[in-house]
Amino acid sequence: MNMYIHELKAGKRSTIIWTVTLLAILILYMSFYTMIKNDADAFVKIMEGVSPVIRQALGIAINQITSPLGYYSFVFSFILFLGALQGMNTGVNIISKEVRDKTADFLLTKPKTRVSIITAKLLAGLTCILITGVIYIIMSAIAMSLFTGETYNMTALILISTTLLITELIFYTLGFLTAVIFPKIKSVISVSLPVVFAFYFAGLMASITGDELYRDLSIFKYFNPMYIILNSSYETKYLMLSVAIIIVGFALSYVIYSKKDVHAV
Amino acid sequence: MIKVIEINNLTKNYGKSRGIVDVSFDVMEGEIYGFIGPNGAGKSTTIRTLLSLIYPTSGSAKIFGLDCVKDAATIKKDIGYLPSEVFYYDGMKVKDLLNYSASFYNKDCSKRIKELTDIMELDVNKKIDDLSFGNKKKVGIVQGLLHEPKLIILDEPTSGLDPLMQQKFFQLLKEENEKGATILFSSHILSEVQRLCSKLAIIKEGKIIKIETMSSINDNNYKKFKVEAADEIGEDYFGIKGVTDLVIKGNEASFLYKGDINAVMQKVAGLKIVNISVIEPDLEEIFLHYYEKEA
Amino acid sequence: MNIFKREMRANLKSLIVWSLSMVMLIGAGMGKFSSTSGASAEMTELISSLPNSLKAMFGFGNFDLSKAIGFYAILYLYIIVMGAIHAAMLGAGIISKEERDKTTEFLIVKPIKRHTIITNKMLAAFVNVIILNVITFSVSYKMVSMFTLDASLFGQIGMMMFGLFMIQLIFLTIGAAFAAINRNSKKAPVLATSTILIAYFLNMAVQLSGNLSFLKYFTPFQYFTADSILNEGTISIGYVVLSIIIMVGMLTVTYSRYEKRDLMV
Repeated sequence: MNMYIHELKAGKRSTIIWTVTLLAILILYMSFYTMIKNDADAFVKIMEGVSPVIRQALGIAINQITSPLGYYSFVFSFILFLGALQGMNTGVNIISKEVRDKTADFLLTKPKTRVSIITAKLLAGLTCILITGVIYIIMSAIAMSLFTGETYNMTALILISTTLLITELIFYTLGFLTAVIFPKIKSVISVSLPVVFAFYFAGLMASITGDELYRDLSIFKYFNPMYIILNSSYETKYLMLSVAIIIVGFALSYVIYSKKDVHAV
Repeated sequence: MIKVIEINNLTKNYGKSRGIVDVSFDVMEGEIYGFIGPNGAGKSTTIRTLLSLIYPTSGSAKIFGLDCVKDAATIKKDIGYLPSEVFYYDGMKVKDLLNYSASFYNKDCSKRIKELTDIMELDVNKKIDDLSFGNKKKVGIVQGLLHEPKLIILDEPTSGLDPLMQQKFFQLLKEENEKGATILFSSHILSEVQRLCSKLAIIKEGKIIKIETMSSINDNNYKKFKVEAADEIGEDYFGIKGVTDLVIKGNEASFLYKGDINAVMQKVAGLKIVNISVIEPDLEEIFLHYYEKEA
Repeated sequence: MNIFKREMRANLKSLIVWSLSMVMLIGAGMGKFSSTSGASAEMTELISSLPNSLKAMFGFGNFDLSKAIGFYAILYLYIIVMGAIHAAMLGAGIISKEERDKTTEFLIVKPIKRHTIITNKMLAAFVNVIILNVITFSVSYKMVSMFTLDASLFGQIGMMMFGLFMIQLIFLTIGAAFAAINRNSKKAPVLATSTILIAYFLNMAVQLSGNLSFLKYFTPFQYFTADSILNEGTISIGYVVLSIIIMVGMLTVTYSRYEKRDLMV
């Protein structure tokens, strides 16, 4: 319990900064909604001259992306990137700092099993991410009513916003595992940013090409907002895949952390 | 006597590079046990294995009769550890770190923290980041002793401490020892081991090359005699068994002696002495002696 | 000169990793291009008349996706973001690592001036950036010209690469300046990457909203856009001057602060 509280204190500042950043981006981008909606309406009106097939196709696309939930989904893709970064950072940091700050000897010579040490860390990081996730879900609903003033499917919104939490957890797991495998990480951000960026790029490729392999690789595309809006549920395959990554990642972390040698630095 | 530490054929390989090979020794309750060897000989590897920071390739070690790997957490309740390089958490005050450290042991350590910080003259309200190396070291010492451990493990603990502080630190260790604590003290500085320890193991290139009690090391070794007499000393006056390296210059004689001390004292008593010195050889010389023999 | 060599060697591994990642990004991206995937001419024309905010949301901006260069233009944003991450970490790392790795004492007691240390380090970083740019240029040209080869291609990609080069130098000097200012060696990479994230999100905000366009001067990602290079065929001299001013400013800060501040040991 003392380790859990210690880790929570250590993570407090960064959790606040991340939460505020996510909310700032949410509010900034959502505040453009009315203007973009007007742009779109004006454009749809001047589309009169073009052939009906194309007008219809583009019109549907425009309507979709400028509906409250459609626009929110667009904004959400940026939030998701930051969230993934928070998750990865938290995971990498909570493990690697002991080696970086030379505190591993301190902690590991205390009368605690390695399992109880890693559990305390795991739960503390989980708590930080949960706090960010829950605050974000609540704020996303408030921002939606505030900036769109239109009716929308509340269930779909909550489901979309919750995927931030799931995505953060996946990246948290990856960060945690990475730091357990590579104990001598000197700078957290120089590991987490390139990794998250790589997954983000794979996500872009997935959406440009529709390639299934890219989608499986890119964690960012596991939860398609358009699918959620239409079905008010997640795709089972990707929900299972997420849970599997998290469970396997933590199981591996436990096994490796319990067995590895901790060297003097 | 009870074995506090029991190391049996402990081996640790780091790939192909150095490690320890077949290390065995026992530390009895109440001993201050010296563990000595040059840099890179395997002292830290042995200690880190005892603390289950690293795991043995083969062999085993027991502390308080419990297995070092399996019962690591239980064992550590009664171990205090001070590494050569101290650690600190970012942005923590001294007292925060000490309280955090204390929170791992299910007892009230506040009184002991107060005592120790007073002895070490440590300002608990300072941030650890702002402390000098020596002061960080003191935090390490207090941190390692605050729960009144039954076994204190020290890995080259004195670097960075001024002589006065070192004195206090040794005093502290002796007090802990008198209260019943067993101490394993690793060092490459022989004089401090000589001052403190009752028994020692010498390690070189990952292997234990000698285990001796301090007294037998001292007994079994040469004493340096320097004698200045009122009259000239005869060339073969000290020609008895056990004397070597004899040098006689007029009134002065110097030699090394090993054997029954009475025999040489009788010879000395036969002279009119102006001045005499009998010097115990320091560990340095003994150490070199062992090293050369093994090399 | 010995510091320069040491830094070149120390950064070699990371340069190789970054170069390979860049090659992979371009390769994976262009590998997915097929000229049939483009929309009809009428659609393309219609899309180009969309309001800027909607173009930004659809993600393909103003580009003709039926042409390889149009497809490449979408990748360009990711290329410059990646270049920025590389440069910022390089700049922050190369200055701050002595303090992080506690090698300051080693270096500073040598008979050299502090500004010589900075000059050597910045020079090494500069060469690293040039190498990455040359590799990016060659791979980009090779990949795009595989699909279409016309006379303007070399110039277009050349201008985009000039943009990448400028952006890298901007973030390199920003990273170095953060490292020179900060006594805490851990902060520099975090601040430098935060700057990239802020610039990135500002970039998107500028694109989405018409009335925030004055903010474009604050995000280097707006200085050299694929849109302006491909559709206007030029690079704005004003932005080049602005970039150089930023670089010189950051370099001045780096030299003067590193010269004066206490180094942590």
